[in-house]
Amino acid sequence: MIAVFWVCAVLSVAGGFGMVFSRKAVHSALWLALTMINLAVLYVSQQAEFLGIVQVVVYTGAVMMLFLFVLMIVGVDSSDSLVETIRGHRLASVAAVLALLVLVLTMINQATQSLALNIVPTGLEGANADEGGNVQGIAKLLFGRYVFAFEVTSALLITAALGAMVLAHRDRLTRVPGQEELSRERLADPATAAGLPAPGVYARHNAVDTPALLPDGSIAENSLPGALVLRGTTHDVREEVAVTRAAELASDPKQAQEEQS
Amino acid sequence: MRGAPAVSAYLPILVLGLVSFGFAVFSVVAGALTGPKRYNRARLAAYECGIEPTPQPAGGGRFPVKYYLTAMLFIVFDIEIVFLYPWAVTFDRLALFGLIEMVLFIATVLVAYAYVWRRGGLEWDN
Repeated sequence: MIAVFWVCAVLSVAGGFGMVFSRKAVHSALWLALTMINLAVLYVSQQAEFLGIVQVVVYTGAVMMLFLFVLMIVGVDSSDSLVETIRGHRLASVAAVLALLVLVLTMINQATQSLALNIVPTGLEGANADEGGNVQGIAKLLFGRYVFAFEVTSALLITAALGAMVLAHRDRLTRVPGQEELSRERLADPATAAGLPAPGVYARHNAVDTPALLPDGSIAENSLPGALVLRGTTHDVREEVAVTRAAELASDPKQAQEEQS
Repeated sequence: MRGAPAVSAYLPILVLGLVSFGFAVFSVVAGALTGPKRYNRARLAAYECGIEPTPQPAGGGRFPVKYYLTAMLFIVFDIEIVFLYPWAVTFDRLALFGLIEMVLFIATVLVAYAYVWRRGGLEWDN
């Protein structure tokens, strides 16, 4: 038991330091997951099995995922801002740290005083044995003495779902065209009835970023994937087209004369 | 339940964790030791028609907020499941009172579910 405490306590504190000192937000999140898992092991080693398993399921599972989603929404690579956006943020942080320090010191003080008076902590063993298990004990309290708080929790869950919908859900103002409509629209236009031209003419290493050439020699811009066009990473083939055109004209003087006139 | 049997009940999990950690370390080390190291430009390029891993787009590759909604809704109903565990373990001892409690709880959370469903929160393309 003591060994479990020393291993997990050291690892969870290390996870906390790693979280604070990591330069990358995703690394911080992973350090936090280490802390959470070690706390779960500590709970289980204190006979609070239910709390330990819920810690893994809810915190390392769901809350951690939420953190990572928030990081992805903000942008994984976005740099830290040292500007104080919330007024009095730093003062409040210092106050919170001091309050936590007082709390921890009081706890340690009380614990040592109890030990000096030979009052040994009993843990959950007795309570668990009375009810035939940790989960049974929690069930008796939750569905017995704290039943009102339990039922009110459902209202809290409604509020959370409502808040998530209000903050993150966007009603679409226009209807999304379905597969059938898109297909009909494409067939109605002779230019796209046979499908879009495939990219890849003059490709040297990456075919999709290089546009196709139409039979008349013009560049087919709609053969490029939209995502690459948005990123601006498509390959400009105008130079190659010009070189090829010049070579064609040089090998065929008759066509060159036609072009001149 | 003194300390010793409680810990030994979790021994398989510890062994599983050690085995998976050992496998990860072994794979990385063995790959680094035994794999050939001949790098050139063509080898690092995407094969044939793969899209080049281009630099991150502006804004650090941000994801749509839709994912956040999914995560939030997952947590809400995850918490509901957490309350179902102790009830399921002791539901014969709690008898009818426990059943009524749980039906009330689920019915209330169902309001949230119905709202999310009707507003189209469960549809990705909406």
